[in-house]
Amino acid sequence: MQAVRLSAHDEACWQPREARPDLSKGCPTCAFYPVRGRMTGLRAWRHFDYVLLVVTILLTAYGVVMIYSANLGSPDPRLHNLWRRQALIGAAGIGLILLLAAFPRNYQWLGDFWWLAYLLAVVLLVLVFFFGERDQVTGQMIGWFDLGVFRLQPAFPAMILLAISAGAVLSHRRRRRGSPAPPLFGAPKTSIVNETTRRPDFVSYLTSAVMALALAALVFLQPDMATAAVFVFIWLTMLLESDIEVRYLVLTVALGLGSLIPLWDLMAHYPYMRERVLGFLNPSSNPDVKYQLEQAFIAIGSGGLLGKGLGQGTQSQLRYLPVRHTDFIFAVLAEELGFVGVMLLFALYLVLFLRLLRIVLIAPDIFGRLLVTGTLAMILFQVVVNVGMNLGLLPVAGLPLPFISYGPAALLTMMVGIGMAENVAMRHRKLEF
Amino acid sequence: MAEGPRRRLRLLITLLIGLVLVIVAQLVQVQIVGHRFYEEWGREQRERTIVMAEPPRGVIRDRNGHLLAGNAVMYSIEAAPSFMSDEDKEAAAAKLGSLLHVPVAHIEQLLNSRDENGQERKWVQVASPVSKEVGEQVAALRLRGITVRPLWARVYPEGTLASHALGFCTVEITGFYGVEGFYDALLRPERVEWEGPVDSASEPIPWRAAPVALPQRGTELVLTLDRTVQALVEEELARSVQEYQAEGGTIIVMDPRTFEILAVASLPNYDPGRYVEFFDQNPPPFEDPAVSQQYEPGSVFKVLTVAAALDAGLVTPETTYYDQGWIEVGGQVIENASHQPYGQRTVADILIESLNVGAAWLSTQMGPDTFYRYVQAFGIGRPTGVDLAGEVSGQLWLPGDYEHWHPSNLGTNAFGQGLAVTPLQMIAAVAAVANDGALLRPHIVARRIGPGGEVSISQPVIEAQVISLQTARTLTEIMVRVVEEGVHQARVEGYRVAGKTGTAQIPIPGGYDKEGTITTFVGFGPVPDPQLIILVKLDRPKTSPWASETAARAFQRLATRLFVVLGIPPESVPLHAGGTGEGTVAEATR
Repeated sequence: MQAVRLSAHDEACWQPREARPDLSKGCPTCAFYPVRGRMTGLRAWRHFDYVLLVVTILLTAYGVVMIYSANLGSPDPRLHNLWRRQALIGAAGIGLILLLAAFPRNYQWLGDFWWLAYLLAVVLLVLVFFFGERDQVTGQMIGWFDLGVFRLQPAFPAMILLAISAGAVLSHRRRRRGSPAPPLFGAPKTSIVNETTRRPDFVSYLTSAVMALALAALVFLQPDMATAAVFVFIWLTMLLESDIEVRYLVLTVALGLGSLIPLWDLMAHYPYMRERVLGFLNPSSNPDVKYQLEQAFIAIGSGGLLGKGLGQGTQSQLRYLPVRHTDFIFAVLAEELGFVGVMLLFALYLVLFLRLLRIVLIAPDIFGRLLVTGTLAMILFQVVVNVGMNLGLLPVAGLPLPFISYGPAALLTMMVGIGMAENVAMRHRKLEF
Repeated sequence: MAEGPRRRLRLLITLLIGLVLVIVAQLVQVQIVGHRFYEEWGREQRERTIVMAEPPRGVIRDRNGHLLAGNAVMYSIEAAPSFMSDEDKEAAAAKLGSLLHVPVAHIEQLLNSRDENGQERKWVQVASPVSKEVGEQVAALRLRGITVRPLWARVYPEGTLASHALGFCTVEITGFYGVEGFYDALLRPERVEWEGPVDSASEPIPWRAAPVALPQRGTELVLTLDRTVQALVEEELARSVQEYQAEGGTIIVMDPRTFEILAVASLPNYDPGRYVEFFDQNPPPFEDPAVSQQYEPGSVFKVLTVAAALDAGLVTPETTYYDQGWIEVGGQVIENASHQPYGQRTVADILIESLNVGAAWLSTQMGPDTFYRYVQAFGIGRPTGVDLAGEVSGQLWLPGDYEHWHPSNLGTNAFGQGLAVTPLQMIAAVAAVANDGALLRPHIVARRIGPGGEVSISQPVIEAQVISLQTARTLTEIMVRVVEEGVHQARVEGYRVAGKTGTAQIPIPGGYDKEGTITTFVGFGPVPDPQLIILVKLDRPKTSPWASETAARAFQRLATRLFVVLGIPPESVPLHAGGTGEGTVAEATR
């Protein structure tokens, strides 16, 4: 049994209720505000991560420019205005980040409503089966609501909702506050019996697993394999970060590998998924997949070091590339701005991830840490899968490139994640890295 | 911070760095190392030969502007099977089958066929060309994966009329035979193409400056043919072939003053609009016998022999010789057709009574040098240069050709044996006599009208003054006597016509066919100012082997009608001097 060394903050804030100092005016060792405490003036903005905000704005702007260029050569006039909409949504998202950062209630308050958050995710994903749009030709589900203003894919908010609820469940044994949490699993422990018991137990593990897999299954049934995988990845990363015992991790890997075959069988119901996987393993088997990959390779390869110039990409502007403003926007970027443009993109992502990682490390408590970890995992996974797909390293999957691809729901979801991370960042005082 | 999570975090970051390295490595591989390769691939993919929409092929009209060959919009029905579901294919096959009158199973098989890689085809042609009506009906169905592409199709509104002279044009817009073949390059619309980029739908992108000139339609041709004359000629040919039970035949009508071809017809013929259906025949009836088939002309050729002898100053029409019924030339005995001796005869009698012995006597008197010089001057042994596709040169062996020429040829050639001519060569040679001794180049296109409306008129080309004007007039008078005293079957009421028959045996390997002859009559009139020359050739007539009983009668009927149709006044109508000489047939027909 490994002893968990508590930080000064933990020592102060995680005392049993009766031993806890008066926290009504905030933790004396950190910027941790009490549950129903309020922001106290401008002091907290010192800890606002301005670099994270700027890098988010830069990435969004980069995306708007690329969407503009990707649709330049398109014959559909409706596509020509998408960059404007993305810019508007982006601006709204930046406002949302500021709003979330300055939210009078701190993020811990969200943890109290973890079950409500989870319920909302489930309801959204179930409703889309009944009220979602359908493909006009095939009548197949496409997994979004038509809200008139924009299309909402409930899978994206569900990712954030999973990060909140799974984070709460995996950290509940460390949450010692006025309100019992989680209420569904018995009365909160009123005292710390053993330091090691603060790690998530089997109940937490199983609950979070069921929660994540249920959401993944709902998305899988849409059917959207790639987005379903995002849920699994978010949960796995949070599990790893939750200080859970190694045996649970081993168990997870074993179960995961064991379920591959049944999963493959399940895919038989959705031939396109198998086709995509097979198309990746053997690109010449499916002419469409082969064509898409070839076009992406030609685009990226012909871009070279400096690219052909914005709006000058022959693959993009002559419409050889499919779904240019969403799935294959990376290829458009690589063709028109070249290796240098891609490296700029990667640099922005690197800064973004490092800033999020910093917040993970300075988070005042485990819930905040898991919340930011979930956000980080969500963005990271999509970047890797999208870029990997464009480069032919991973199967052709319909995941967007975060902040760059067109998609109001996806962009707002990423912004909410950043906003929550800022909220976490603002509640700390001391850097412990 | 707890130790455990930190270690795990380190692990996670390490994994992440590895992943980023893989991605960057792949990026360098594709974007830096493979740059040239992918750039070239992309260029190959988008650079195409772009062809601008083609304007129609040049139309062909007769001398009065009547359309003989035009263009119509038809459709090509095409399909993209790889973009069609099974239901789409089923529905398309059922509907197309009933519209195109093609078995449904056949279309289904076509749509389900696979390429060499076992993939569904991206493009197949279902039917082409289909008529405008059917094409528009198919387009109105809006079948998924079925495209209806308009194209130009050649139409021949007069059906079989002048089929050999016109030739035909394939779906790929390539002309064959006749005028279509000879003037193919001119009739073809200009094809403007350039190398340039196309988008993913194969639409050309005007990134680079497109050629300045727009594609031009093909040149329009106005023929010397007269639709009415042509129809009368074809009618007479069909009647004669039937009446004399011939296997086929050719009639050519020319204006001897200009060598314009007014009509040229042969049987068997075909419909150029439905040329595909005639490929089964053996041989296909596409070649124009008037220029592509050579034959031994027989006695018609005596006209040239007598012309040469008169023009060389060797004899006059009244010069006499003794016809003993045979003559030996180069070791070969030549007899008259009737195998009879005729006794004392004049040079004119050689034509009037068609004496082989007399003709051979003339050629031997002239000697090979003089004889062949004249024969060649008449255009025998080389193409006339007419603007029709597939003209052959005929066959004339000269004393220098050791392998083929034998001294006896001098005798047999004199009456049209041992050499071969095309019907057009024969009529052109006699037309030179009618045209005061001047041989022009026969032609069938009167003028060309370019895409911009610029007109170029075919000028007469004088090949040679073969014989003197005086010789020509003298010979014409002898030929008038041939009709009036010899071949009364060819007499045309009210007109003085000149002419000569030819009944030729058909050479086969090792001798001559015992059965069947080729009968020819060449005649022109009205003398003294011939405006019309007609050649009638009938192959193996069964009712009579003699030209006088077959070809001459056909000439008589045809000439009688044509003189009237072309408004040529009969002898009895007095005209002031030169009245008809100034006019042309073109004016007469307007």
